[in-house]
Amino acid sequence: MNLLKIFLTMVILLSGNLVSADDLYVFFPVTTRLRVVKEEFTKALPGTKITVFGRYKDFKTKIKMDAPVAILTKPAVIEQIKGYTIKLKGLRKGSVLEPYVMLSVDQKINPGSLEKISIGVFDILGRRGMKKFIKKYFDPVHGLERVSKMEDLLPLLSFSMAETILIPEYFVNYFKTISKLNFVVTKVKMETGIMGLALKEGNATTALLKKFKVIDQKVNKLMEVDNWK
Amino acid sequence: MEITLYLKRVLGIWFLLVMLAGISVAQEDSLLVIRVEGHDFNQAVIGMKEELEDDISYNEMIIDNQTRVADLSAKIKIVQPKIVILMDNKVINLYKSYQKQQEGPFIPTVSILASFMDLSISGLKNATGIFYEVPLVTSIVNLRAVLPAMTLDKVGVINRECTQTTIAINQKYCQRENIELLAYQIPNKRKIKSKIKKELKRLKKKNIDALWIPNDSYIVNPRLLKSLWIPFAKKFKKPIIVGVEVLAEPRFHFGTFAVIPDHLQIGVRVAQMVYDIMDNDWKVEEQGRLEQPRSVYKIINLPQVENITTVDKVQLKNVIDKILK
Repeated sequence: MNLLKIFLTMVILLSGNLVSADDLYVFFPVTTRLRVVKEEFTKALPGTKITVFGRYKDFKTKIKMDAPVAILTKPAVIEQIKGYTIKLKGLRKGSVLEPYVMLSVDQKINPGSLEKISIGVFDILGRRGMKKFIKKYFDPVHGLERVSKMEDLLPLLSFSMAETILIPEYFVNYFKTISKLNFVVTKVKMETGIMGLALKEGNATTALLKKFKVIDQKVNKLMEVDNWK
Repeated sequence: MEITLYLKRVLGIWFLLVMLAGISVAQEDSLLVIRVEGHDFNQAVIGMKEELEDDISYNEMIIDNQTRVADLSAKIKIVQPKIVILMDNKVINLYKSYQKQQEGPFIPTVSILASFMDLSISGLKNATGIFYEVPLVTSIVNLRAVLPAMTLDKVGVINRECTQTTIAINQKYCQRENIELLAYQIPNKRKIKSKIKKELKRLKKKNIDALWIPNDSYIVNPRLLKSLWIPFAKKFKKPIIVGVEVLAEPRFHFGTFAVIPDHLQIGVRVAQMVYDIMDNDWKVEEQGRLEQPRSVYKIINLPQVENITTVDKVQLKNVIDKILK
């Protein structure tokens, strides 16, 4: 009877470990529906429980309530989440950094004079976090218009709710494909990490890291990365 | 003597503590949402609450047909809001009556989820808001993505004269995306059906690529849907863009594509506007300024669209929120 109890306890503990060992929370700017992101990740990482978030606040709250073993997000976001260390960095054209640009309509933007204009941004850090984050690169800035879907940046320009949108250069083509607005690109002095896979501190699992190094290119494309280092 | 001094000190400290507690209570700014019942309103409230932080206390008043200005006045007296969020036309009208009885300075308001918002908040002081109707350009940009084989450069619309300002704004937005919005007006009230029929014939002759049906109950209602719009749609064989989900249901054989505001995101946006107004010392930055809804929910009537043209299946999954089959 005692042996049976021990056996059952071990099974429960092991199965619990297996579930938590492959628990991944995902949050990054995408141009597709979140259900597509979840589908692709679930296919590419069998056995891993994938949760995809569209908003920083939901992502942060869920981590606080139920911390997963791994998180996949922008390195700037990982810096704000305590208890996680980046183990893999996403690479694009050999670099772990991506340059940003300002996209506007008809007119170029002067990045040195932003005190009277509103800038549209994808919200990766919440109200206070985004203010601080942008301040590192541009100061002063009149107003930040935050959105939680990449596509929602376009109406900011279409309806003149912001003079410009600040985006990773990679996304310029996306906007040029979906819209016929007369876009003007202004290069700015801003580079940030593309993507990071971070593990909970003290977790020794390497299975997920191995899986990521050989992950399907289709999934890499969703994350706008070529491979991982 | 010593006891009196001791008592004085104790009372002094107590008084100071009461004062400090009073200040800390007063420092938490109150927000009052006045709204009606309904799923869309609940969604907006969820979005707003998620975005608001602990520095603003949330209060709510749900009104019905029995609610009077005096009830509103009593609630405002209790809550002492720094800002009021108004949802629905009925609420805005009631609040207008309340504001007329007040002397300034006026509490700032953000109005949402009400039709013809520009007309609706006209006369309201220290007011701003978000339009409820999604501009046509948003629909076309998304439709282009899923129907790459189709040209969507010329879109027709029939509107009542009283909505001409809104149509003119839409024409301006469309122009920037190289879309021509051909608008034919009908009178505000008389002979609506026969006028729509006449203008539809004119629009067809202009060889439009799609038809836009704005949310106007004088133009689309159950009676006209059955007798006029559905028979027209059967022959039209081109995309019909609507602003409510029900009109895109396959059983009606009418709307091809519905683009509606994302109510949750409207709530999130309202919370952001609240912080902007707070930073501006509880004054709206520009009186009467209205924003367009920036986040939308896209619904496609798949059988209808497949009858018209080829659909990009990958883009369909990537772009569309709800596929009706």
